Amino acid sequence: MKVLGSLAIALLTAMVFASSLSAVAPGDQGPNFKFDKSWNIEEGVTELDQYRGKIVMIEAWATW
Amino acid sequence: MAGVPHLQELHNKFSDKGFAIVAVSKEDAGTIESKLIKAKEVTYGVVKADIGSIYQTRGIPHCWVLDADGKCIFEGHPSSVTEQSVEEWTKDIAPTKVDRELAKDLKNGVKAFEAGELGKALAEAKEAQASEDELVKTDGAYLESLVKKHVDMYTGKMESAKKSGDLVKLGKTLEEASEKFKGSEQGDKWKDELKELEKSDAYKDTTKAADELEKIRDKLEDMRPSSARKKLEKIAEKYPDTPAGKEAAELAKRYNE
Repeated sequence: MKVLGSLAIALLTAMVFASSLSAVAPGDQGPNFKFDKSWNIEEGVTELDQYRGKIVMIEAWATW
Repeated sequence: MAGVPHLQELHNKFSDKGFAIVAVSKEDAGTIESKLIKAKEVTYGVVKADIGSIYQTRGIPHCWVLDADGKCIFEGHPSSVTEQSVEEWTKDIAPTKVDRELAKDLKNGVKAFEAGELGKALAEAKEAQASEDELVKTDGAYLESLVKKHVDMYTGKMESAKKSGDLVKLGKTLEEASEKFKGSEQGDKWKDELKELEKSDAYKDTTKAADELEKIRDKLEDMRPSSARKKLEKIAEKYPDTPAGKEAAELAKRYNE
């Protein structure tokens, strides 16, 4: 019961935390970020801002 | 990983039309390389970066689409990004390939356009419009309209660099644009603008600040916090009104003991 209780609290905390984060939504300016490493990307392109002038689709993915 | 074929298809269809995919993972490079690049033979852009703190998401995969000015125009699951939506988004974006067969007389113009020699392509397109042949004329006008999209794109980039006061970015854009439009009036105009910019003290400061910050950026982690802070504060003090100077001031705060 104790385990369940702390699990519920952790879950609740996570939910409150997640909803307080400000996600990038349509209408917002997309924040820049630098690439630590890249594949299939034009030489000299090292950050997102260099895609200005194009439509860019940022996809967050993982192998798992 | 189930979404890979869909992304690959969008890339195949639209990468020539001003649409780019940046698939981001924070996993280690070896994993990304073996499980995606090699195993799935993807040809779209993939990067390693940790964007979790800026692009919040409650599930993976998730995607955001930014327009030519960097504004978010879509947020959601990648499978909801359809070919029709990309078609619509890219309709005013500068293409890098000519999407239909043009009259033979424009062969050189098309070749120049696809090689990124836009000044030359523009000259060929203008010459074609003086032709008596109606088809050549129409196709010349079409090629010119494609070149004009690049003019608009560069103008937009320059405007946004000016607005944010990022003179380094402005200089780089002017350099790239004048090189691509070499041999045309537009190219000369940008070249003159670049020369004027390079003469200004504000530009000199901006580039110097950026250079100095770049020189120490990789070494910061290995320095004692106090000396990292001092070095950053020096740049911030010397060039307070430049983007790199402001960034140095921000970074310096991290090294407060």
